[in-house]
Amino acid sequence: MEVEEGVQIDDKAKRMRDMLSSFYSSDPSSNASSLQNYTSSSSRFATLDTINTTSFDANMYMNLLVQKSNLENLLQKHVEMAAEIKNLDTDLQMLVYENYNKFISATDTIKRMKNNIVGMEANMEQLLEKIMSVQSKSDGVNTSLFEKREHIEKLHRTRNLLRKVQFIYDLPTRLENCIKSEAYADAIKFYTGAMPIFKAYGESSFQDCKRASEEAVAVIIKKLQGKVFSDSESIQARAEAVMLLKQLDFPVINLKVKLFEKLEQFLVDLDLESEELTNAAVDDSELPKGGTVLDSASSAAHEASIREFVEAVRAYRVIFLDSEQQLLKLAQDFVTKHFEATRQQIKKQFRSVELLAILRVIWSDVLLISEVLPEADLPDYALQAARIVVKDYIDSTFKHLLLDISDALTKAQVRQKEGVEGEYSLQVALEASRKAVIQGSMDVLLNFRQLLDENSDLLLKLRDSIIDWVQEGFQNFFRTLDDHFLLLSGKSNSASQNLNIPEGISVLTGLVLVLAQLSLFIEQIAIPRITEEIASSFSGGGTRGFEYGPAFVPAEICRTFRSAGEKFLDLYIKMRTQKISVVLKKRFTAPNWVKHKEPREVHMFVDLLLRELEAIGTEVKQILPQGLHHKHRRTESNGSTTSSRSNPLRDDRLSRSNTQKARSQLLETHLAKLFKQKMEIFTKVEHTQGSVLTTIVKLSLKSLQEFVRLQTFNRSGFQQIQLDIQFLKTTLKEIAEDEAAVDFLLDEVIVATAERCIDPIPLEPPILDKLVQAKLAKNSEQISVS
Amino acid sequence: MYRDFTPAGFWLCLKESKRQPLMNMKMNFVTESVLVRPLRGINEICSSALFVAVGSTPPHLTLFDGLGLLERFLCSLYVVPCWVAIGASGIKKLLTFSESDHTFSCRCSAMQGGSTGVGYGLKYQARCISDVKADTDHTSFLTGTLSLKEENEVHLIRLSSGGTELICEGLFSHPNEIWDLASCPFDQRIFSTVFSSGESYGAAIWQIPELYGQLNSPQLERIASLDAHSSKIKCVLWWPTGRHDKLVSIDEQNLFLWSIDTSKKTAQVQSQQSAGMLHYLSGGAWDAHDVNAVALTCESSVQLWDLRTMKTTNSIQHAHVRNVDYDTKNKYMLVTAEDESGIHIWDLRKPKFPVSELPGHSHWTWTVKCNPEYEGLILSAGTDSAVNLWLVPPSSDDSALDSLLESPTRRVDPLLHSYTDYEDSVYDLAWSSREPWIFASLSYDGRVVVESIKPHHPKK
Repeated sequence: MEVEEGVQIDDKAKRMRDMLSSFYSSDPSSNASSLQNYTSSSSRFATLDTINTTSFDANMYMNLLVQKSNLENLLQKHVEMAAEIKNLDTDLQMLVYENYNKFISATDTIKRMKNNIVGMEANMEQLLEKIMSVQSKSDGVNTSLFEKREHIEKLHRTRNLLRKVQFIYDLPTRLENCIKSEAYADAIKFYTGAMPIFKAYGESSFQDCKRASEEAVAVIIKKLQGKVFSDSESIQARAEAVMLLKQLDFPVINLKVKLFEKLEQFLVDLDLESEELTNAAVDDSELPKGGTVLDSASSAAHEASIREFVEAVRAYRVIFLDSEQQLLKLAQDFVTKHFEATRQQIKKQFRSVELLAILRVIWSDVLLISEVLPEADLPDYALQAARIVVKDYIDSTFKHLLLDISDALTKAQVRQKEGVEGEYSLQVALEASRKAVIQGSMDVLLNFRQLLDENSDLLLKLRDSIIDWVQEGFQNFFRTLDDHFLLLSGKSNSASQNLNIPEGISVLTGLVLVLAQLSLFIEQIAIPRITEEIASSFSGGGTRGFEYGPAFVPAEICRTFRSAGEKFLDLYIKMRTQKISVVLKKRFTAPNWVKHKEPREVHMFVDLLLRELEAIGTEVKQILPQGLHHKHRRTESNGSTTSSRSNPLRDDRLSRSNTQKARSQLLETHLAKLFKQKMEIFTKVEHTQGSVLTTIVKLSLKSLQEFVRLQTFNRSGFQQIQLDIQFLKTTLKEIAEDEAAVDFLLDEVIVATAERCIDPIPLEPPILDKLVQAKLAKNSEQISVS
Repeated sequence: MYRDFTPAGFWLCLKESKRQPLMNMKMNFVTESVLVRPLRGINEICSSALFVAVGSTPPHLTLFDGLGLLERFLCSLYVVPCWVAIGASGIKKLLTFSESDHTFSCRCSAMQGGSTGVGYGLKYQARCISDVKADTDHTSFLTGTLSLKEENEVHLIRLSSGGTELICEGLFSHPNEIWDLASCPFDQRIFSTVFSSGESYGAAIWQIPELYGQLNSPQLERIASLDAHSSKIKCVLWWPTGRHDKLVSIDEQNLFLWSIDTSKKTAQVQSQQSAGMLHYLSGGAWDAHDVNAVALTCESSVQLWDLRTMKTTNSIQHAHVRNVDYDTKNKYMLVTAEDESGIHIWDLRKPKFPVSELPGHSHWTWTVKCNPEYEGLILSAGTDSAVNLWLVPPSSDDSALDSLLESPTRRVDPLLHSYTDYEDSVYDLAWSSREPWIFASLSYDGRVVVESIKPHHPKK
């Protein structure tokens, strides 16, 4: 029972504590939920700890306690609980008492506040009353003073007006005085001060005054204008004058324009002078002694005028502060114009001395002007312009050189065409063009060297570029020269180039030969010399950067011209053999070889052939070097000893006279052919008389063989060919060097004819000899007659 | 040069044969101081072993066939006076001497080092060879000899399957010397020839008789003769692309269009047109792309004809054109060969200027042939005894051409290879249409050489 009671008391205390804690706790819900959690779990796992939760079940607790504890424990528990209950009761009492105390003190405080507020109302009313009385008094003072003040103000205004009127009436005389004392600044200050009044009343009351002062101002303006334009005045004074004029609303722009025009006029004059100067320079170079005075005089004059211009520009700049842009433009125009004039000059043929003179003048001008106008950056600008001009100059020089060379060449062509064929016309042409090449390029180099030698600041800056340009220029020059040669030879590769040449122009063989030799000359002599020259005085450069390598690559040009030389030589041979082919073709296609008549004499085509060869010989002899004497080196074409067979057998057989022997002679030829190596007929052509002639002879004979192979002969036809060939054998020996090859080819022709002959019975050697001799005699007769 | 030669000695020259040990045959005729050496290149005479003996007085040459398999050589077995030149590098020349006309003909020469070709020797000189296009099973060629006095022959040659030997498939006698020969593109047994005897010229279409295993000169059957010509006949053209019942023949003055029927064995002139008195026609080519377009070469120009109207539609003014060929791959491309100035390639739409130019040969460029399969691959043959293989870069766009012009140093050499191992002028060439990397060339001395371009073609 006691236990039960204890438990009940404990329960009560706990409820109290819960309620209190729920009242004070900030988060009752969470608390509650935790409690709930606790109870839900407690129902399942009932322990003795559930005593502090809301869902405390006293019966269950009791049962649990009784079950778990023995009597001693229960008694102990009872004592504990009784003590706890007592504690809780005292706690509760303490809390209630404290709360009550606080409530009582709050009530006291409220009562005290109520007592303090009661006296305030009366004080406020007193204050209001006092303010009202102050206001009424101030109103009274104000009204009494108002009238007097009004009057004073009126009087003051009248006085001001009167003073102004006085000033205006005095203005003309005052202005006059100012003009007399040249105090224009004061005068203008006065005038501008009076301006608003004139504007307001000028039409009515102050008409006279206004007119008079305006007249005075007009005088002032005139004087000021004069001052501005007069060069004798100090720049400061002029600038002031302009300022004053600006204050008078005078259209200053007009003045500016006028002054600017004056400057421009200056420039035009200067330009004229520069023309004169160049002319003077030209004169100078023509008359190296007498002209120097003139030159120095004119350059002195030029310098003086430039100085004048510079002064003017300086003044203008000071006078018109915002005029820089305009001046910059003017200065740049000046430089541009200068260089433009120079470029015009360059178009004519023109030496670097002259260019240098002009550049020098320009540079000094530029330096002078840039002193005044440092912002214009004129030196840079001039440098750019000079760069272009110098490049132009170099380009045009090369162009002239090209023209000179092609002139030298075409002159030869024209002369050849007109038939004024002197004995050595080709040689003359070659010499002339050689000279044009070497002399021309040396002159060009000399010219350019003068550019480099010049110590002027301008050119020093351009030095590297000039070196590059010259190298590049030569590179391009030779490339275009090669193209030009191709064009002249009529053997340009592309269709587009072809379009440029009028069709039907037959390129003369001589010219092609000259071109071949000229190419050789350029490769072997001109290029090394130019390279040397460039190396000695145009080394350096290097603005191109290393990755591009040097601009002038002599090896490449040499290669180009070597191949060009070979090409032209081949072309020459081709053109010549083509001509011979025509002769041969006519010879072999025209007659009916199957019905040929017995041979009576050597056919005239041999004459034609020989004449062609002779013509080639004269052309070749004029130009090509003789070369080594090859006459005895018969094995040249194949390098074997077999071809030097002089064939004693055959010589023996020649003396025999029956046809059987002749036949075996043929056989011999066949056999001889067998024992030889393949004859290299088509060897490399050299630039020598012999080589070219031999090549042409060989090619012609090969053509002859091919023509023969296309025909069918009867016996007489065969004999005719045999006779012709026999004759050629003696005559060609004198012309061609490579006797072995020529013999071989001649034999080949006979073999081919025999093969194509229905009845190949050769002519008997005596008859052959007789006919050949007759022909030789006839030829020599003709020569002696002519 | 002929230091090996002693008049009293004997040479026994033979090619080692798989079928016959050469020592056996030696005993047949060797009497004293026999020199036996394998003769390279001897297979140009026959494809089997061959023995050559040279006696002392008079020197003579005997030709034996090792096994007696090739009757044609056994038939013509006779002793002839002959000379054999033996150079340090082996046999150089071998000669036969004909009693009847007292001329020598050069028969063979040892191949010089590096040559890859397969050789075949004709008995006489020859000018024309043609690819047998209709034969799809084998790579074969037809060639005809040009001999004024002997009996001329037409050889049907076949490349063995290994490509190492040229085998004579048929040998037919032909009545006159053959100046032009063209195989029919749709029937392998039919071909045309242009022939002459002295003054008279003729052209005919022939049919090869069925070969029943025998090789010995059966007669050719003449299907039709093209006998309407009044002047020198130059060539007969078949349309190269396929079956077409027309045939073009060209003489110096006229162009004939024939309508042929091979089964009925008839040929009738369908139309004829004169090219004008002043134009001596020299040859022509039939456009593979257009059955109506024919290009004719004459002295001063190349004329382009339309066969429907029989009129010149256009012309390329270019002198000395010797041979012309249409590019089989590129429709408007025409290739010409000139005497002196090499090879030009033309675009027919722009006939004023050539598209490009090749240097050609040291002497005349006689013929050009475009490869039937690979574009820009051109063969040319010339009288400088050489065959050149060219590769023309495709120049359809002008920019490529320009860039070439700009950098002449960087220009690629169009010459791929030059075959110079010929003894005489090379007058005709034929690409094999079956194996387009193979071509046959024929030099005037009657030597057929079949070469493969494979080692020289960069792409293949």
